[in-house]
Amino acid sequence: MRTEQNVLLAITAGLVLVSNLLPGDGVEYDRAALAHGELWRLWSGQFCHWSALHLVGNLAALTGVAIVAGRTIRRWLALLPIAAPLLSVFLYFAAPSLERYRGLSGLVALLVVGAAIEGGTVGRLLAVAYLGKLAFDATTGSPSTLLPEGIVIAWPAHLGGILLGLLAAFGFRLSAAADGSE
Amino acid sequence: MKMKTILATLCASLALTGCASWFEQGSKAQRGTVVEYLYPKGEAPTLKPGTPELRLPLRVGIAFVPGERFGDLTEADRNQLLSRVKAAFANRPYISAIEIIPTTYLRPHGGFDNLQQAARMFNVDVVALLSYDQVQFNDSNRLSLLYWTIIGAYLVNGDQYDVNTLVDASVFDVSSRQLLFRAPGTSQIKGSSPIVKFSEASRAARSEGFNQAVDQLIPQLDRELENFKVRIKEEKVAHVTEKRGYEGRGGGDSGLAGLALIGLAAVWRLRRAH
Repeated sequence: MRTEQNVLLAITAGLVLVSNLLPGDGVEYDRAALAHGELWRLWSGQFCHWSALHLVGNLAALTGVAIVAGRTIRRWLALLPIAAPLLSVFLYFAAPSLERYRGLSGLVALLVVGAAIEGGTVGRLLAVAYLGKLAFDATTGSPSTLLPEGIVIAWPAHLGGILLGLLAAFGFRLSAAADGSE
Repeated sequence: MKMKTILATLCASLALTGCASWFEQGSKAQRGTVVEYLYPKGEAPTLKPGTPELRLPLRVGIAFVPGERFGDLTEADRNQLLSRVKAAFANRPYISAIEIIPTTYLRPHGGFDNLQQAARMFNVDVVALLSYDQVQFNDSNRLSLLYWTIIGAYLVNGDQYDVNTLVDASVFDVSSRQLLFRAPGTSQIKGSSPIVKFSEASRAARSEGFNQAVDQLIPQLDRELENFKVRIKEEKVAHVTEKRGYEGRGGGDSGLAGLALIGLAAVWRLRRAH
């Protein structure tokens, strides 16, 4: 189990590295390209970024969430290579107006659910504040200073991340219940 | 008596040979070309230097080029064909609206000035002009000999038609007057009919020719649109910007506020740990 988790963590790190080293046009979530069968974008689109500042901002958010959640965040981080394509599929169907997308924050939203479960009071408060921020972004469509001009915050990715986080939490609970009964 | 018989025979043969003259032999054409509409009187195309600027999401107009004569393609038929093209492209996120421009709003040989007037009236940035060229060839086959029996004119398929249709969509950026891309659709319909039903049958074939050509045009136009998107990226054939509120390009980003929230929570957690 531990070995599998380490492998998945290594894959996560590899995906972050490779997706940000390759040219963005070839790895971003591109709706039309996905429809033409470029399926690697289901993974890489969630890990590549529009700029170095965008990448640094998301890595800082990921680090902060990991600090709040503590060491148990590892099992959530190990989920990211599985959650990435699911999140892209969610965007494909739930956000038809989103043609191109880059960024890790959809998956960070999944980790926020992890922080709410693993991080005690601070984690839960963070999750509540994060939901408030999501509602604000969805209603105002506010831009981000960390994104290049002309690119808006894709709040559906955050919503999808939270839904996937809830699904993961349910999965972990089922798994824990099964282990307990054994 | 003999004279009467001769006269009757002469009248009958004249009437029967007249069958051939009732039927329109040869060919029939109807066309409207984009060159004649945009560059009337042999005007040379004037090219503005620079690349067209497209602001997404685009408002697109779609219209048939006004031809000299439309023949049997009515305004309602044209609208129906344009509606099918509109439906095929309506759900694209980078297109905010597709407006059908009736041909009555375009002047034959109107040029770009007329196109810009119509574009302003319908508030569109880009116009897809559909030009068409349909030629029908009519011939008689050996069975037409049976028309001499009179009843054969009703039952025997002695006349045949060959309808060739080309519909070509040229997409223009109205402000820069530049052609962005184009795509063709073609069809060929062959058939035969008795002489008394020939006019009706060939009209139906001409109408079906337009339908089939538009059916073929839609996937071609889709392919050219995708190629154009690639050319924008690779060859910079157009400069693309976004209108305010356009959500075509999104970034997964928590924003400074989100980052500050996460940062505060992390600091709080670290302080509690110590």
